[in-house]
Amino acid sequence: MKHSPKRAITAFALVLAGVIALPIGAASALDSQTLESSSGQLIARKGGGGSSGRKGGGGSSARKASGHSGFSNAGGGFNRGSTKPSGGWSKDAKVGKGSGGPSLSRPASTNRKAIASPKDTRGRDGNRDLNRDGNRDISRNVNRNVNRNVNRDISRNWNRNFNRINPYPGWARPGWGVARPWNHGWYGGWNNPPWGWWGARAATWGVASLATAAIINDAVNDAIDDHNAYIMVPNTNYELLYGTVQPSSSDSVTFIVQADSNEYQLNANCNSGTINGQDPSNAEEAQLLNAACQVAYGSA
Amino acid sequence: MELFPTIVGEFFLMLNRKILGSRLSHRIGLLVAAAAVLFAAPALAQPQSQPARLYKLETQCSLKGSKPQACVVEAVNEGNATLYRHSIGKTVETIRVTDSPVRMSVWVGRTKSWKNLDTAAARFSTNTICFNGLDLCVINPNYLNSVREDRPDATAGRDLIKVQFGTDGRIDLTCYDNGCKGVGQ
Repeated sequence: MKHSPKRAITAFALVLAGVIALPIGAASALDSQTLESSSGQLIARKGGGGSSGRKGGGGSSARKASGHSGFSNAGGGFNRGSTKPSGGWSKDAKVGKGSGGPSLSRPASTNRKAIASPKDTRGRDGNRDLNRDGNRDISRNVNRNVNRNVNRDISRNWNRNFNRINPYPGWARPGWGVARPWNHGWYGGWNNPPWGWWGARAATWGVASLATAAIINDAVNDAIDDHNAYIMVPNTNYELLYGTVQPSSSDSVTFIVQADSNEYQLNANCNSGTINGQDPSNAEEAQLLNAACQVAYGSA
Repeated sequence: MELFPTIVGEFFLMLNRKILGSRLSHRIGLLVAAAAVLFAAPALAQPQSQPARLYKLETQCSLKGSKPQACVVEAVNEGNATLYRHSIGKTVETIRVTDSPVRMSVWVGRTKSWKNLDTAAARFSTNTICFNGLDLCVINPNYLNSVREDRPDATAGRDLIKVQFGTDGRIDLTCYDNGCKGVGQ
């Protein structure tokens, strides 16, 4: 059988074309595998209709749709630690001079006394109703005024349209005071109320003092222990989602607050003492401002 | 991809034997060379795994239970591992952590090799991680923030985590809080 050079070239060209096409086919196969895998994950995520947080009954997004073996976390609590947390990386661990340095011992401050912070979460109706009924008679007048003011202020300039923020960032955990990752502004450089803006206005509002740093820190510690995303701002009906507090400039913060069963994103200037660019219109707003600034910048 | 040049090469050789000496062989050679370049290009274009620094953290460390000292932690991604270089004065301790499965090892300068760790432990409330008992302890909130967000189910409500590695470098035991009493002593 004779083979002409022309035929050989044609045959080679065919093989070459086939081989050139091969990676594209392989890539398609890979793509379809990836797609299958992602759609599987999507289904898993949607499964149960759970929220992305911990409150939902749908489970974590890390779980697979193929049932629960109970061993999904058998790899232990460690990993590479290379995934950038939502708050970013810290450049300087603000460790106090008297901190005692690295230690695996439980710090003494964790044996604190419980403070007047709500232990219930939304959804535990039994406790909530009991508390509400018990306090109603005592604080009827105070609550009525607070609610009236809150409602008026909410309708004025508080923002309900915002992108959902993870209320459980990596730093919102035991040791949060050092774990806050921001590297700028007043963080670590400010210690305790009162703020410069407080004194002059306090008399107008008829309130003697703001909640101390210790009270707010304890409220956050308790909320972390109880897996609550929020703290009750002392002497108010506001629920501050402490994990959403983020510095937005050298002395300003943004945060989400719950009031009247709605969530609002606010910004506050801790130096000039404003919320959404305005002076607090009452003592409750001042307490909210104080709490958010303490979580962002105060010693803890 | 490694198979492809071999097949083409053999085909080319077979072809070349039959038409050796012809002017066409030169043309085919050029064609094959062009094809090789075509195939090599995507491989060349793929990013090589270069070390990428995640962060540099000024913090405190302690060695073998001694008093805390200022130190700098540099976290670098290198291939499938993350290296944590702890500079304490003139001493440098490097820990390598890999995932799936989690393994940790320490660089031994004398032997110029990685040695598997025996234990690691972390206390969230003090932002501390310790390697091989108290051989090296460091305040590294970045590492713990990352772990906390990556493993919410495993770490929620936990303060102390300890792991014990087997001789093969894999985790033999993980314990949390009260479950760690007597572990890794």
